[in-house]
Parts: sequence; structure tokens; C-alpha cells
Amino acid sequence: MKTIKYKMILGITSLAILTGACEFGDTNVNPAIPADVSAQAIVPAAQAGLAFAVGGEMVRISGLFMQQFEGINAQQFDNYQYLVKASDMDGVWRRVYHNSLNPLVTVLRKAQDEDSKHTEGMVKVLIAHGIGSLSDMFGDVPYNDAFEGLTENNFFPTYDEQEDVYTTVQTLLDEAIMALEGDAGAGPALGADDLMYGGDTDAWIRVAHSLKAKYYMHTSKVDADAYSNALSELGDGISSNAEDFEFIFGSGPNEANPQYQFSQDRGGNIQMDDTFVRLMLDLDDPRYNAFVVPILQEDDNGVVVDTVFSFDVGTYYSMINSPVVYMSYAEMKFIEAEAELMENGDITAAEVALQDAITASLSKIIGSVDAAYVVANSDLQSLTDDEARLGQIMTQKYIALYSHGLETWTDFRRTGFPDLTPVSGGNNAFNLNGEIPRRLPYPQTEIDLNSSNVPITSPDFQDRFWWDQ
Amino acid sequence: MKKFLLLSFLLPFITVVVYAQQRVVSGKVISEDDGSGLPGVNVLEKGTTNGTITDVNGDYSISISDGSVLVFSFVGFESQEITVGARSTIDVSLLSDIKQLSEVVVTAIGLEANKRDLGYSIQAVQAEEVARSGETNMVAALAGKAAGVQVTSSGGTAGAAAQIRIRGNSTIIGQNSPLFVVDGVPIDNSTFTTADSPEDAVSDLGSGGVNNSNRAIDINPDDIGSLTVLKGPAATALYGIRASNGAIIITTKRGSNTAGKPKISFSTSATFDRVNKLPDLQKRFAQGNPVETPDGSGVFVPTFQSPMTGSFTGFSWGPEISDLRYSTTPSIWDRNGRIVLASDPTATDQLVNAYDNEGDFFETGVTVNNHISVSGGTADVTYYLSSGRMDQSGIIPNSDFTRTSFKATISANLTDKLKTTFSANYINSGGKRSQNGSNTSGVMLGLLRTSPTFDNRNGVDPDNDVSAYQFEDGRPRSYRGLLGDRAIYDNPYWTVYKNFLTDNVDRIIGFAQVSYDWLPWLTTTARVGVDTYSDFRKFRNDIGSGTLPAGQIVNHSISSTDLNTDILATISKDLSEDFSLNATVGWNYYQKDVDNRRDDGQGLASRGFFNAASASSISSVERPIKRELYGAYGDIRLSYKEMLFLNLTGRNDWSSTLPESNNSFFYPAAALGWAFTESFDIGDDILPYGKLRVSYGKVGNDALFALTTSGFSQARVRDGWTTPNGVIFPALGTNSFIPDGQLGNSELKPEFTTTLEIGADLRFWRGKITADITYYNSLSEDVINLVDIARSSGFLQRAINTGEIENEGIEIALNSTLVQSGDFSYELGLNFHKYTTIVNAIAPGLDVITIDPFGTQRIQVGEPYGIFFGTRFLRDDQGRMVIDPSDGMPLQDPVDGKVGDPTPDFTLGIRNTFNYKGLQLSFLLDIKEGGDVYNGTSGVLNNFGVGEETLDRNEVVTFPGVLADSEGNPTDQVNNIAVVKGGTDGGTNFYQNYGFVNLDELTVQDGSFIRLRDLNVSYNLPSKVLSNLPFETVRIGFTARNVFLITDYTGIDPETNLTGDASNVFAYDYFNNPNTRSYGVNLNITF
Repeated sequence: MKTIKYKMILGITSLAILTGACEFGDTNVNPAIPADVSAQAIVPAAQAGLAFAVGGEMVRISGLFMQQFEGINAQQFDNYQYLVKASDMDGVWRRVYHNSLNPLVTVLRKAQDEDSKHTEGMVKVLIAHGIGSLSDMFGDVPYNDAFEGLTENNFFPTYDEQEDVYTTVQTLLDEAIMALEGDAGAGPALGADDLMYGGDTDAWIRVAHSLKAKYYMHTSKVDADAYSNALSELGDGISSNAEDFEFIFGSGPNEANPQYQFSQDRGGNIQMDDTFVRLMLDLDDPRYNAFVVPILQEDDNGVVVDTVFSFDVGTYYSMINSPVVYMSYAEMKFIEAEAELMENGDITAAEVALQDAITASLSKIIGSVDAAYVVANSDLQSLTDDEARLGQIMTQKYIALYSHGLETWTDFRRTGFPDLTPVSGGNNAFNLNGEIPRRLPYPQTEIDLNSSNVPITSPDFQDRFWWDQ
Repeated sequence: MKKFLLLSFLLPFITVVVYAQQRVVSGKVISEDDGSGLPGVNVLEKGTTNGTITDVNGDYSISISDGSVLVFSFVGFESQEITVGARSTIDVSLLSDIKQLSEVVVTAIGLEANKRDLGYSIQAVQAEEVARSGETNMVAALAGKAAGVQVTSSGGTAGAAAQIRIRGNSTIIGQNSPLFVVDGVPIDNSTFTTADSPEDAVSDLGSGGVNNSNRAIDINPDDIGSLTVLKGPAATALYGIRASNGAIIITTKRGSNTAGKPKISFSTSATFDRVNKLPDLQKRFAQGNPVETPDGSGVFVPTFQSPMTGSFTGFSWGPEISDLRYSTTPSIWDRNGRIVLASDPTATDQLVNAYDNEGDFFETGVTVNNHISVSGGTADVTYYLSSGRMDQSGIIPNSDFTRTSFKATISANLTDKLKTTFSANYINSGGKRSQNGSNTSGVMLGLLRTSPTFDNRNGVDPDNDVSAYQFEDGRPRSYRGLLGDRAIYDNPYWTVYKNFLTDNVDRIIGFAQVSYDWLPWLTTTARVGVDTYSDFRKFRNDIGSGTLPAGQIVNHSISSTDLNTDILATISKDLSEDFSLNATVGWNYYQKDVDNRRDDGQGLASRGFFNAASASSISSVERPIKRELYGAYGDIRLSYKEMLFLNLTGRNDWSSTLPESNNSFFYPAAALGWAFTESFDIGDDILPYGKLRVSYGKVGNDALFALTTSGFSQARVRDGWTTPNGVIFPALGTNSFIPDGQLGNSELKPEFTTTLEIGADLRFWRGKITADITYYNSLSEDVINLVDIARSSGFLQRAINTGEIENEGIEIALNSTLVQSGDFSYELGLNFHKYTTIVNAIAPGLDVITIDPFGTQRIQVGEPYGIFFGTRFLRDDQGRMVIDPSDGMPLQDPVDGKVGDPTPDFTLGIRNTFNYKGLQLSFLLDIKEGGDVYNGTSGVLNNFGVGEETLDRNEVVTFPGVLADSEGNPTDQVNNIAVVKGGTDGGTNFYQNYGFVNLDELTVQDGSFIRLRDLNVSYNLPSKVLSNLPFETVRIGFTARNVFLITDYTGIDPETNLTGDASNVFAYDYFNNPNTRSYGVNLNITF
């Protein structure tokens, strides 16, 4: 009896020790994290990621600086008064680099391996706009050295100078056009995974030309050819509202537009700013009701005591399934108007383009065109000088491009229009003179995690970019 | 002390064979020192193996042959031999033996050792101390009770987690919590958050959620028999990596030989909790803001704004409340009517109330705890059966926590060599929890920010009247009004009655142990332990809430199973007269399996319909964790003449979480003790016993689950402002994946901590004072880290092992009987701890890791662990503030810097115990000197104009300092710009000038405190009263917790932590739920 027990215990012990020699199989593999997925499985999230960044954080910061929004609570209250902390910018970098561009670059690598030319082209268009937008917020940003965390163990990407980023943007767009115009290649075709155009290569080619025009325009202060370069792209670009470059969100609570989500989850942090509201009221702008929801506050006797201007009860840009607009036909026409005026001095052509721009915007936003409004607001002839004419174009663009990413802030830095008075109390350690900021601080994550490369750790918000000199 | 020590090792030493009983002798063994009954005394019939041990009260009963001599022996006492003669009752009084006086402690793997034989630091905590702390969470109960142990509760919420650290932090992303071991079986002490993906872990820290429990809360303190704290690697090496941060060794109560007579013990207590401390809020100024007068003159007047005036403002920068009146116009926002200026034509003469919302909110929590146990046994079989039930209602309305436990431990000697023990503990726990933290549905956020002119209760009792927090149509009522049909901040009553979480845990902890004595000096033991539980949680967020107005229902289920097997052989032999040997070799297998599923349903069909069927979209996350570990270990203890003691320990582990090439690792420890008083025969009275000890030990640690590979994860995109919303795939008609943010590392290797420990155990004045002094220095190297990486790399984090953390500290545990006079005694116990934790390295090219949600707490090379780093005033080289000439405000330094260190200068627990006959008074003073706390709450409350500090808003001040030039550089010109501090004249508001949470320099505060942590009075009924009652002992007691707290800290408590034990963030206060002060009575009866 005893011997049996003894043998048993000894046997179990030695068996256990032997099996303990360290083969664990897939015990340490996380079943929720597959080792690989197809390029097509990545595209939808990468597209949604960029739209979330552009339609969320970018629209908000631009809108707050441009007095389209007023921050009334929390960090938005600070941002409205030009107090922006480095950590306020952590999110947008994460959204752009991690949630969007890295997936897009991953798709690009796969597409190149698999010879999917059209996918390659589409991806390059989105990468170009993503990196270009980021540069318009921060100036120098990592690109050539970025997205190499997995492939090259590069955790400290160097920064590309803004001028080089702009070259990259144009190069990417040129390559994209070439890829999209050529044959599809042997790999999987671009199709339903493309949530924006369903694999329509012509649409992407138009977008690429349009973006080229946009980024040429951004360099209008520093490049004498900017206007003519932009004009030369317009003919191949977006030619109707139906072709607008935008991402449309869904109607489920887990697929909602970012501006809608912000309004729902952080109601009371932002309302429409008086500057923007007053401008539209003064112009009797037909888009007023599509951009602003005046909430009449009544007392218990039904007497209206106040009006709160809200953006968040279902305006054009803040419905659950609203689009995030990257670039619209209206913007094409505003570019044309500005370029005709500034490059060619052709006031008539500028005026026609401006009419088209306002018309496009009205029909996009409210579905109809108030001809009298168009005429009244596109009259350039009667203005005294080009400065006033530019002001007229840019002021209309300021209304029409409300909530189009960063564009109105970029236009303001580029042209000085619209003529805004800085908010009071806008002076702080990073913005000593209290003027409207020209740049944003690099995110805290870059300062902490990429300290040897980040160009500026203690920013001056009035320090101007390469294209803003 | 002795009584308790012995309880812990009663059972294994029972080696009784019963022969030729002829008659029974019984009696009581007491201590000569204090007359208390001594449990666990060996009573042996001389010259035979017949024996027994005394029970908890020192009583024994033994069958003997005639003419026997009984030997009473007990560690720490001089043995006595008594000839029985014809007596049937023999009471014995034992004299303590100063030289022998020692503690038997349970060390790793359940091995018992005499503390004097150990070359490392180990500290016992009396089970009684745990029980009488009045804490429901045994981890919280350890606060202040052992040197080197720091405990922080996450708040006074019922069932809230407590974070425990032994000797500070040693790793960066891994667990810094010690291992909890119950009866030799490691148990799970996880705290699972409701974070829905690893990627959101950080943002979810900030976004609040509820105070979850750490799972050690399931251990019923009433079942604890003894508790030992193992601190350094020399002590814990046998437990291996899981005890790399120390271990809390719990031995539960067991039965003893009562000659078959069952011993019944019953205890009951009722405790009443009140909120302990709240931030001070102003009650003088109304909701609103300075508004420019309509005449355009540029004059600003603080103006009342609220939902009544159509404003969404959250601020209380309005007019003096005394200038306001209720008007004759009714209002849905206040039962007294609209609030208007006294000059308004509709104004009545009724002054406007300044509501005490925060004072009215908290309730008296009641905890009722009942516990009954039946124990006893014969020489061969002993048993302990218990049942406990604890019902706690929180100080927050509609919050509660209950725990029901059943426990059975049965030991049987099947033969004189084969011994078995079985134990099973079933626990059901859980409750109703409300949210806190940075969360528009957090209780404290909505409560503290409320303007004093708004009544959160709406003049009714929210317990039975929903009109406090909702309108007739179900829309929420809160001080910032309604946006359409939803709240901006939730009314705290809405939060607690609608947006709560319920959890329900079913858990079984059990073990089976078989040991066999092959030879008198050789025993083998096999022990299998299981700890398995399921935790089902349901979180509700009703339609119209500030967070996610569409409504949300989360079903979260966690099931976890830990399986632990040890097989060991122990040799215990005197090699010669001078040498004795104690050696153990063993093998360990550990497996952990966690299934974690979370179904997040958003968009509810209707209000209050909290079922998955109500959600219009459901996204599911399935996140299992698996790990396996094999260990082989050995331990040798050699002693020479009871004077020199040598311990050698080694363990090799094979872990599944490391790459195959690196998954085997060995670590040794050595400890040497020298009882120098034995060598030199130093004077008996002054220093009867002294031992010096030195140990050097190394302990390894493996990685977290699944850090060795990279892959793709199901995509979700959101920003910090839209959590818990976002685009969560599958969405937009498709599923989608992106490269996972976490980069694995196939070359990970184990991390190691080596510790040098030098100490002394000293006993002075006939043992009236004992002191354990320990210095330790430990170095953690190759620390496995999941470091953040620049987002521009495309990724968020990567696994790496390069970190280096150095810990150094001194612990002193001192116990003394200062007065011993007749029936009166006064004992003083001190626990002192001072330490520093310095981070020497993180990763190449990386000097900083931010660990908190707001980017203020970080781990930085060359600095103490977890320093606070952030914004501060700009100062010139003489330290003067630099003032902005354009508005007279002190400028912020554009460069952030270190603004605080949470490491205390020292902590000191002082236990005072007075005994007079059956009456005992005991209290624990707990002192922490230094150690900063991040008080984000105060920064925000001041920004909102509700903090008491903002009462000085109208004061005209000239900030001391020098003016800046236009570049922001300091000049020598002294500032002479007078400003209204709160900007109520339309100027810059000091309290809002530096952003939402204000300058970190201002929000980081000194967390020093003196606290009367507990106070207990108990009375044992004297035996002459008892003799008329059917009870053996009756004790009645009064307990109080947190009787007072002296601190300059202005937040809810200098001991608080937003994330409980779910992260390595600590000393972090952001709208945390407050702590409690309690008073209770209890009754213990045995019969």
C-alpha cells in the first residue's frame, strides 16, 4: 500500500517536472489580435479614422480660433481664448498617425506587394491630405521617417520640414493620379471597402487634382506660381456637388459623425460664436438655419428671455450621419475666384467663379439657391480694390467652408480674411500678444516620447510657418 | 500576540496517537505575564506520543494513563512538567522565556518558521487588528499596521478597492501589488475596470467609471486566523515571480482538538458611516458670469445666469446671492420661483437660498456584519465551519455592497502519518455602485460643480420622489439645464438612481492538502488550490444623461480561474547537537484563465429599459487572458547552536508569457542571521536577545499576457471627448481592422529585482521592548515595460525590457509593554517606514512615461516614481513671479517642470493598547509626513467659481513679482498693476487664467496627515459573570474609524486614488468619491 502511494506521488512529481520543461504552445497568443488581415479589411477603418480627426478635433480647433464656435466650458473654453496645452493636441496626432495614416501606409505596402494599383492610388490621396492637414496645424511633421515602428523598429521619427511635406503632398498626389489612371494591376481591386467612392477611380482622380489645387493655394504667400498652379488643376478636379470629397457617417450610435458625437457627449462645451452668427444674420444668410440652431429660452410664462446659439441639435454638419467634408465643389470655385483675381486680375472671371461657389454652397447646404443672395454677395466689380474683393471672396468662403476641416483658419493665416478681432483674454505664456494663433503646440506625447526630434517644445503661437511668412 | 501566533500553526503539529486512555484530565494554561489563556500549548504525556494542544482559550483536555507526568511546552515559554497524581483538573501558568521568546510565522509555501531562525524581515499582523479595523476590505484594514506597507483606498464607496504597496513600486506597467496567499494558495486580487479595450485603458482611467473592488475584498476578515507580511525577495523567493512585490500570507482559522466538543463563536456588529471630508465650497455667489452692461460702456457686472435665464453656464461667477430674490414668476427649476435681482419688478422679498447640496447629499451608511463559526475536533479530526454575512449601504444614496461567505476547513489524520486538510470557501459579493471621476455622470463632478443657487434635491426627498432629478416627461433636471432633452452635467441624484452599475461575484476558493510523514524527519506534502469566480456586471446609462444621451447598457462578464499546485518534500533534522537542518524542495504549477467579455449596447429603446434587447447597436469585446507557470524550488535552513542561522533559497520558473527562448529563469536568495547575544552572553535584563541579519535575494518577474507578438485589432476610433462613443466596428456596414497600437517583442526576457536587506531583531528589558529594524536596498533591472512611443511611429506602445528602478528604505517595527502593573497594562506599537524609489532608466531614447489621464503624473529618469510634472508660474532667477504687463496676471512658465513628489517623507503608525482586567482600549494613530497629492478637483472647482478660495474674487490685488517685457522675459520692474483677482470687473480671472484644472503647481498639494485611524473599546465579561451564563466568553466592543483627520490637504482625503488598484497611478484625486468616518458596536460570544 505504502509503496504504491510512494510510487504514485513520485511518479506524479516527476511527470509534472518533465512536462514543465517549457512548451506552452499558443498560451501567450491573444486570440483577439489576429497576426494579419487583408488590405481590404483595413481600408474602412483608415478612412473613418481620418474623417474622425478632420471632422472632430480639426474642425473644433479651427472653428474656435475662427470664431465660428465659442468655447464655454472645459478645455474648449481655454482653447477659445488661445490657451492650448500640448496635451490638448495628443488626440489629433493619435487619430491621424495611428488610427488613419499608419493603417493607410499598411494598406499601401500591401497594395504594392499585391500589385493593386488603384488601391495604391486611393491610399496615396488620403495620405497626402492627412499629412498636409497635420502640417497646416503644426508646420514640420514626421513623414519620411514615420510609420516605421513595426517595420524598422523606428520609434523616434525625424521631422520633415514643412516645405518638404508640401513637396511630398504634391508628389503623392501625382503618383496617385498616375496609378489611378493606369490599369488596375493583378491584385485585389479597389471596391466596396472604399466607403467614400466605392472604387470609382475617376472620382479619386478628380479628388487628387482638387487637393493639388488646395495645397498649391496654401503656398500663395511664398510661391509666385501658386495661383497658376492651382488654376491648372481645377479643370480636372471636382466639378459638381455630387463629386464632393467627403466621408459620410452612419446612423447607428456606433458610427456617428464626430461633431454629432461631441455635441451629444459634451453638450455645453461649445456653442456658436457671436461673430459667425452675427455675420450670417447681418447678411440674412439662407444657410443660417442649417448652421445655427437658435434655442429660444422661455421663462415659465412663455416669454423669451434669451437665445442660445447652438450647433448641436441637428445642423447640416452635426447630424448623426452628417458628412465630414474634406473638399467641396464650392471650395474649387472659391479657389478659382481667388486665383483669377490675384493671378490674372480678371475680376469678371473671379465674380463668375464666386457666384458659382456661393451657388454650389447654397445648393449643397440647403438644397436651393437664393439668387438675390448670390448676386448681392458676389459683386466684386463695385468694390474699390483687390484687397476688398479678396475680402469679399474670403468672407463668403469663411461661411461656405464652415466645418470643412482647417480650411478657414488656413485661409485666415494666408489672406488675413475674414477680418476678426481677437477674443479678449487671449494672451498667455504661449501667445503673449493675444492675437489669433498661427500654429498649435506639438503634442505632449511627441515632447515626451520623441524629444530628440520634436522641433519646438515651448511654442510661440505667433511663430509663423514656412507658407505663412 | 503569542495567542495569535500559535493559532497559525496549531494543526500541522498535531501528531497524536491515542493509546490506552484511562481517564481524562483537563484544565487551562495561562500566561504568567498577563493571565491570558494560551492557545496552542503542547500538552504531552511524558514518555509517550500522546498529546494535545490547548484551544483558543488555553483550555485542554487529555486522556492519560494513571501515574503520568504531563509536559506543557510552548515556544517562548519555559516548559513545565507536572505529575498528575489523582487530579482531574490541572491549571498551569507558564513563564515566558525571554531567550526563547519568539514568533512563529508562516513563510512562503505555507512553511512555518520560528521568526528567530530567519535572516530576513517578516512582520505579523494580528488577525484581531484586521477584524477590529472596521474595514470590510481586508486590504484597507492593513493600513498603518505594518512597516513598509502603504494602503490607499479609492474612496469610501461601498465595496471600493484599496491599493496596497509593500516597499513602494518596483515595476512600471506590471503589477506592483503583493501576492495574496490564503492557506498556502495564492488567490486573485485583480481589479477589473470597465475599460472596453486596452487602447482605451488610459482614457478610461480618466473617464471615471465606478469604484470597483479588488478581489481580496472577498476574504471575510472574520475568518482570518493570522496574517504575515513578507517583504523582500529572501522572504518571498519560494513563491517566485508572483510575489516579486512581496506577499500577504493569510492563514484562516482552523479547528482544534476540543475532545469532540463543538465550540461556537458568534460575532455581530453594526457600523454607521458618515462622509468624512468634503472640499470647502463657497455659498456666497450665484451661478452666472460677469456680463458687459448693454450700454456698451465696457462695464462688466456679475450677472445671474442659469437654465432660468436660458444659459448653459456651469460657472458660479455671478452676483452675491444676498442681492437676489425669488420672483413672483414660477419656475420649473426652483420651487420658490424664478431668481431675479432684488430690484426686479417681480421680485418678492424672499431671499434666495444658498443650498448646501454637498452637505445634503450623503447619507448615513450602515454596515451590519454577522459571523458564526463552529469549530472543534478530536485528536484525529478537526473542523472549522463558518458563515458570514455583511450588508453595507453606502454613504452615497442607492449604493450598497454585500458579502456572504461560507467556509469549511476539515483536517483529518487518516493514519498517524497520513494527514489531510480540505478547505472550501464560497463567497458571493457585489452591490450597486455609482460613478466617479472625470465623467459628466460622476457623482462628485455633478455634485461639487453645482452652483449654490441650484437645489439638486428640488425640495423633495430623492429617495422616493423622482421630481428631484427629472421632469414629468422623464427628461433630466440638473443645474446646467437641458440641451434639447438631455443634461449637460448629470444631477448627482440622477447618476445614483439611474446610471449605476451592479456587480455580482460568485467565488470559490478551496484547497486540498495531503501530507505524509515518511520518516520522523521527512514529510511530503501535496496541495492543490483553486480560486475561481465569475463576476457579472451590468452598467446602466439612461437616456438623456450627460454622457451618451442615447443611453447605454453594458453587460460585462469576467470569469477567472487560478489553479495552483505545490508538491514539496520537507526535511527537518538535527544533524548533530549543534547543527539542525530544515530543507524543502518543491514543484509548483500555476495556471490562470480569465474570460472577459463586454457587450456594449448603445442607443436605448426607451428610458429605464436596461436590457440588451433595448440597445440599437451592440458591440462585443472578448479579451481572454491565459497564463501558465511551472516552478521548481528549494529552501535550506541551517542553524548552529541556535545562534547562527543560514537560509538558502532558489527557484526556477518557466513562464508562458515570455518567449520560448527566455522563458526559463533561476533566482537565488541567501540570508544569514546571527543571534549575537547568544555568542557573547550579554546581560540578560537590558538586551536579553539580539539578532543581526543580512540577506541578499533576487526575484524574477515575467511579462503581462501576450506581449511577445504584434497584430491587428478590430478598429474603433474616438477622441477623449467622445468616449465611450466613437466609431466602433463593425460599423458602416462592414467590419474593419487596423494595426494594433501595441508592438510586441519576441525577445522579452524576465525582469529581476535584487534586494540587499540588513536588519536587527532586538529585545530589551526582559523583552518588554522588541524592535525590528530593517534597511533595504533593491534594484529592479530589465524591467518589462509597455512604453508609449511617438504616435508618428504609427503605433502607441511597445514592449521592452530595459527599465531600472531602485528602492531604498528603512522600516522599524517596535512593540513595547510600557506599563505592566497588576491588572493594568499599556502597550505601544510603532510602525515606521521611510523610502525612496528612484527611476534610473526607462528605455533607450526615452526618459519619461506619463501614467495618468491628464499627463501630470510621470515616471521620469532620475526622479522618484510617479512625480507630478506640469505647469507652474514663470519665475525669474531670484524666484520672483513674472507678471504679464497687459493684464497684471502672473505668467505661466512656458516650460513645464516638476511640481510634486507623492513619496512621503515617512509614514508612522502608532498603536496604543490599554488593558485593565477585561477592558481594553486601543487606538491607532496614523501619520504621513510629506508626499504630494494631485488635487485636480480643487483646480476645477476654483475655475468654476464654486471653490471656497474664490470668495476673494472681488479683492483688488497686486500679484507680487516683477513685470515682463514684451517677449515675456522678466525685467527688474516691480509689479504695480492692481487687478480684481476674480476678474469680476471684466478683467482677467486669476482662477480661469491657466486653464481648466489650473496650474499644476497650485493643484498639487502636500498630503501630510495625522489620522486617528481606528479606536476600539472592548470589554470581556469576567468569569464570575460568565459562570452564570451559558457562554464561555462574551466581549462587547465599540469601534470607530477615521475619528479625526488633521491635514492641510483641501480635497476629500490625502489618502485617495482615482483608479483604485487598477493602475499604477497613485495619490490622484479628481472628483473621487469621498471617504467615510464610522462608529460601530460589536458583540462576540463563544460557547
